[in-house]
Amino acid sequence: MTDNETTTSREDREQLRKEQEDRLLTAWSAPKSWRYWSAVNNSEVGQWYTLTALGFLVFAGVSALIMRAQLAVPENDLVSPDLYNQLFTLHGSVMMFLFAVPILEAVAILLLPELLAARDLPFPRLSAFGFWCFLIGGVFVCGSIFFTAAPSGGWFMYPPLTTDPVQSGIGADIWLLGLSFIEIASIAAAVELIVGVLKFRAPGMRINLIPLYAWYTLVVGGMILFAFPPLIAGDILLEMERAFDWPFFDADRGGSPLLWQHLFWIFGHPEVYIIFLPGVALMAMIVPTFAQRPVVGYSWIVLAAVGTGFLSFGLWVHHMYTTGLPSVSLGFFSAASTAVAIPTAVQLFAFIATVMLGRVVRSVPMLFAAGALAIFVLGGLSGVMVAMAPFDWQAHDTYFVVAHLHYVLIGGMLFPVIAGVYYYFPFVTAKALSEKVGRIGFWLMFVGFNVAFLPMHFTGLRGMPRRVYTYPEGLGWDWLNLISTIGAFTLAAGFALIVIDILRPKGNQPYCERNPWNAGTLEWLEEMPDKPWGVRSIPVVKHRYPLWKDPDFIGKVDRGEFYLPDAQELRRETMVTSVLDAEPIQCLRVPGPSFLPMITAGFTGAAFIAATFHLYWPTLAAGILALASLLFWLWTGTAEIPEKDEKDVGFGLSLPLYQSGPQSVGWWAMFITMLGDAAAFASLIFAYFFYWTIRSDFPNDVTSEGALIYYALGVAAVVGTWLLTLGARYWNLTGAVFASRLAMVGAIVLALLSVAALLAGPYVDGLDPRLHAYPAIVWILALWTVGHIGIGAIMLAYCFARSLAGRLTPRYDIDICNVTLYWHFAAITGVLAPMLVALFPLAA
Amino acid sequence: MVRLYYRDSLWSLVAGPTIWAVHFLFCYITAAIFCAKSADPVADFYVLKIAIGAATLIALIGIAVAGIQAVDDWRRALNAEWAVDENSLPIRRRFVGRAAFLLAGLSAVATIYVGMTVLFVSSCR
Repeated sequence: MTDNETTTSREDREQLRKEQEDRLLTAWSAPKSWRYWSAVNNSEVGQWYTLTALGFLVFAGVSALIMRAQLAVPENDLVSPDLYNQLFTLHGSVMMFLFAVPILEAVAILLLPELLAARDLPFPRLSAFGFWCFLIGGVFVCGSIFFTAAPSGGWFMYPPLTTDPVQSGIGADIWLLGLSFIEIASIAAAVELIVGVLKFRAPGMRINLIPLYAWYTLVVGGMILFAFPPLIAGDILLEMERAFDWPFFDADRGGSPLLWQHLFWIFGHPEVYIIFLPGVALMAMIVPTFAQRPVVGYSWIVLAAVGTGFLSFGLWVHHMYTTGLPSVSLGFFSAASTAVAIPTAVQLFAFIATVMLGRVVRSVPMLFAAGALAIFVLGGLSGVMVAMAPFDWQAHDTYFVVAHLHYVLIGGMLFPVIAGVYYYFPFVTAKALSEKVGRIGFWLMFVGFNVAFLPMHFTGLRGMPRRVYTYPEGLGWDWLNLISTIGAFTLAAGFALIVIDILRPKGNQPYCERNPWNAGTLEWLEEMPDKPWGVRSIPVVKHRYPLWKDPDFIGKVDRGEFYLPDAQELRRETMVTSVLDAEPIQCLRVPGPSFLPMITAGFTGAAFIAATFHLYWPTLAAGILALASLLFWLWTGTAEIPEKDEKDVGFGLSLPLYQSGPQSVGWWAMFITMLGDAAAFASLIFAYFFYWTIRSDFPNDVTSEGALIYYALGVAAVVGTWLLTLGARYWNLTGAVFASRLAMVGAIVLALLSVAALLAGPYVDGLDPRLHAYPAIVWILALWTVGHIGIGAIMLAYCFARSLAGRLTPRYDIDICNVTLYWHFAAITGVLAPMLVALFPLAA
Repeated sequence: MVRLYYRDSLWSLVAGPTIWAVHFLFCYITAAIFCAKSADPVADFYVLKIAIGAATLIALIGIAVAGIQAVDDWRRALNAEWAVDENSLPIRRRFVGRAAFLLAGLSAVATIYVGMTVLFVSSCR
């Protein structure tokens, strides 16, 4: 071979590489000018999400400072009692619902694809939809305080205070509807992230090789799925009581305010770990990098993540120790509350071991990680104290609890997030934050935090209750409060420094070098500045820290020596792999920019906001528009039939472009969503039996024979619908398209009949939901069931239309597969709920 | 030995914690119903003790089975000849086995904690 030939072939390769990169750029570039806001790619949506969540943090932080200023001296009159109530309610609600949970979803949306060497998340438009919901709902909830209409019943909204329309005003409705709307966005993000971790890993990245961050994301996604639905169920009940006077929480009419506390804390305690685990996840990425060695005890940390995820669901009653539950029940929850300390400690010891065995590089992220550890351990220890019921009876509702929860949340979440901001800032912007400002910011925050919150333990033990807008002098609280206020402003000063550093223009500052921290994980493959394609070619992963293991790994990825180095059809493509062993199973085309998620979120938001003001016609109109835009989005953007069956992704591997059933990501998303839906249904069933255990007048009516017949007809029709849906899928698959369409129509008719029959049941019994909690819960279960059947009927009609339009065929059958999966769950609901409400009163 | 589930599945990982969760729910629901509906909760408390003791025993047996299976997976994978590469099937199985075993251990401890309650607390009030 002559030199000439070598040069030519090198030029050819360079030429090919350039062409490939141009095509990838065309496919993945974010839209320009005003269309920029139609972007759906994880980098854009992740950044908007993160910035919005940080904005809400500042909002909630300022409200905390106003409260601290009010409490600095006794008998202060800086704010009125009512405004103070609104401030602490918004502070808690915003921090929890608009900062802590969303920021971690935001960071996960931003990081996860790059960590797994995927080009995007499975459902980019769903992420965008979630973001717009979050923005609309968040602005609505926060904005209310400028009209002094903010919620004022505390972030946990306990009835009967919040069911009294005179005392709580419109604020409680804003809280219930605004935040329910955001909870839906959170569940959407959870579905997205779970499917991402399970199905979007680079080939070869077996379950034992995935970055710990992804393990935590998986666990947290699962927790959101089971923790948020009980709260949504509770929100429905509370809003029904407020809007229509259905007495779920009214003790005079067969209800119980305690039911709300159960539903709220079944959500609320896992919530703490939903917030804490992603914080630890960031530490699990940061600590190995700066220790310059693999994390110690990978499987122990997985144990801790999964174990905490489970145990955190057995703790909720420790928020209710003082409500008079049987002491044996308190014992169970006390036991579980102490048991959860075990996995929590395991992960912290693993980090300490990693640091001890590595050569630690000093840096701002490590400083924040160390600070987080110190603060969190203190919060954990006071946590074991309040896990003991007798101690809690003394400390309950005092500043001791305020101190404890801030130690847990700031140590477990805020400090790790700031560590993450410093660590990942170059990842997002290709520029570094100032080391010096970071150190000053850290010490101000660390010292300020402890000065603010350590004294609160003592203020609490000296008897100062939470949520008081002022206090008389001479109770021994004066100087402790003053110190707390000084600390709070010091903490805020440190945080403000960091915010300024984040926001300052960095035009002249040079870009970071590639992989600036010398990390080992895949997200640092990215170029500085970043290219929109996520990863230049999708690598085969063989190690937990591929960048450390193979020095030329970045080079190979850049030269396009792995899978999918090209976008011949100018489409956004990434790889779907199997759950355990990450074997390639599909080349998936993900959708590109669209305004549809924003429009759908806008109409959905309008429906919720109109409902807040009891404007039911506009609610209905906005709801119909939301449904229409959703259907249009699905019709035009999903289950697209590809121009060819398979695509060559490189290395002679051909992958299908279309998969349905359990192989497809859509099927998994439906399955996971329906698990969350089942959790909400289970919460309503829990409510039913809860009434039965604590009320002797429940049920206060017996199902009549006439109603029994209707319930039986309803159940039969539901089962018929389910069978016909199964038939529709089967006949479609076998090519009997006409029979399949006939079955769909039959299923729709039966579904509508079952709706009529299931509503006729409680109707002929003459149950009035305003009289007593029993008819109210029966009606709620009936409405829940027929709502699901109705949605299922719309889905079947959609499949029917798709079949007629040639978009659902025997070969391309995602739609009917997913709808069948929906109907498995809907049928369980449609059989269980009527049987319960019809038969239980007869048995009881 | 009898297998409760296929080795290659994430169910083995969550088997222990799931048993803990079922046991926990059982304890909570049984106690709640007992304390609300029993005619004489003081005299009959031993019934609750027996029920929870039995449930704890059954749960621990279940967790033990899950743990033994996990150890079995772990050891078998350890012995596989080609378990050299980090990215190989035996190493992945070893990981799932070990993590499942650790989780079974944690679940056993947590189950004992919860079950122990009735040794110390004998009252619905």
